[in-house]
Amino acid sequence: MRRSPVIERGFCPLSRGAGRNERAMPKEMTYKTRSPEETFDLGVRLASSFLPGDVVILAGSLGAGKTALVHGIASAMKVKSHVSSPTFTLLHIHLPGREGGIALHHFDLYRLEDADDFVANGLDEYVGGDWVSALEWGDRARKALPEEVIEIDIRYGQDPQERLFTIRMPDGRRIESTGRSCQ
Amino acid sequence: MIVLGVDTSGRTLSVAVARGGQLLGEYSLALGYRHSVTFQPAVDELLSRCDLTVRDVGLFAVAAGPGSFTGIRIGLAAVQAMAYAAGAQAVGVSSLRALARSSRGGKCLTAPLVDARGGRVFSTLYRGSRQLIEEGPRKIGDLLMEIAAVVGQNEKVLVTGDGIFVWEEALARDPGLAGRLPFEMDYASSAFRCIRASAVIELALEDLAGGVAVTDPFRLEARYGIDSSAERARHQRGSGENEVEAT
Repeated sequence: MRRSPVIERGFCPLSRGAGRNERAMPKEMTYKTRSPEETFDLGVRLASSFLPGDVVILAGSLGAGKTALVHGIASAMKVKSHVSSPTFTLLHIHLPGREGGIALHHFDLYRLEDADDFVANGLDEYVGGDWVSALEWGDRARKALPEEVIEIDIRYGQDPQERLFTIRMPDGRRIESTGRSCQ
Repeated sequence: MIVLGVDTSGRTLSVAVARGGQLLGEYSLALGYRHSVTFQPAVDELLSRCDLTVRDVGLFAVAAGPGSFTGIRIGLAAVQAMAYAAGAQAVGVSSLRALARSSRGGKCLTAPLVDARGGRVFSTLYRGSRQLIEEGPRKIGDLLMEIAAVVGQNEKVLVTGDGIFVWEEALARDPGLAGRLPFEMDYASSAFRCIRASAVIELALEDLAGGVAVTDPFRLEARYGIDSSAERARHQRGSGENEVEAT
């Protein structure tokens, strides 16, 4: 997977989270996008911070842009298959499109009630291996997921097309794509 | 009678062949959740090493969970198919019971633990063959209390299984806890923390001799250990009453 951070226009980190080393290691950042295309691009940028084994929880109401973000992530990871929402199938496994690439496990837990549903359906076995797991509505299975996860909360902004993405990285990790500073 | 024992219910794979109660051979692999790829070749290889084929097997013994959902399905489905093809019997045993037996026989106290996610373990407690507490997913704190309620002062409990790390994490969070427990703890060595199919065979033969085994391959039942919300709702309504009719 491409690891080098890429800085591009359009992503606007609004705030940096509190923390002792907040300058060196921003644990939490908020980005603003103004269209599905920008959300896609944000996914592309975020993917450069991911490592094999990462578990990414995507939270946000219907239509917030969770799947659009995963589209971008999948595009950057150059997976083989087309991304669509796994609302009915619960999980799509996207194999790497080239040798040495990393697979993407794309979950949608909208139809599940809780972490027990996640485990009772055997989905827990598809998280945490040497691939990246992105879980829409992943907060529903929080108790069954590893302690260290990347959390992405999506909220609506002021304009109908505007979205705010708050991204929290696990301890000791930083977001590599810092984007254009608005501060 | 040739018996084939199988465990795919956890991260490790084990298959064993016995003639009567006599173990002929056993394979164990610790390659993680790759049972769909590794299981059938392991069975074929082991049987052929023993100059046997699936048709020679009279009894299939399988660890039926709790554990990995996919692993349990693989083991049960494969055993059902092979038993049907061979016209053989099939017996399922609890994976926790098999884990306790794999770790140490005899009359000692054994707590088999299988990771159930979210800080919980599938667990129970055995004194020899006697089960002292119910099988179920529990937080470590609850398990410790249940064990403390049924064991004698200063008795030693052997802890085993891949759930040991959950147990250790819980004890690490409360450093004084181990000292306050009314029983002593002993940890199975890593060589004995996984299910061996020879133990699955042993238990199936015991159940058969004791007349408590269900031997119809198509009545094998998975023991998933955790109910989905749909199953919980069905239990609340009263099982069977409102089952969806076939259309």
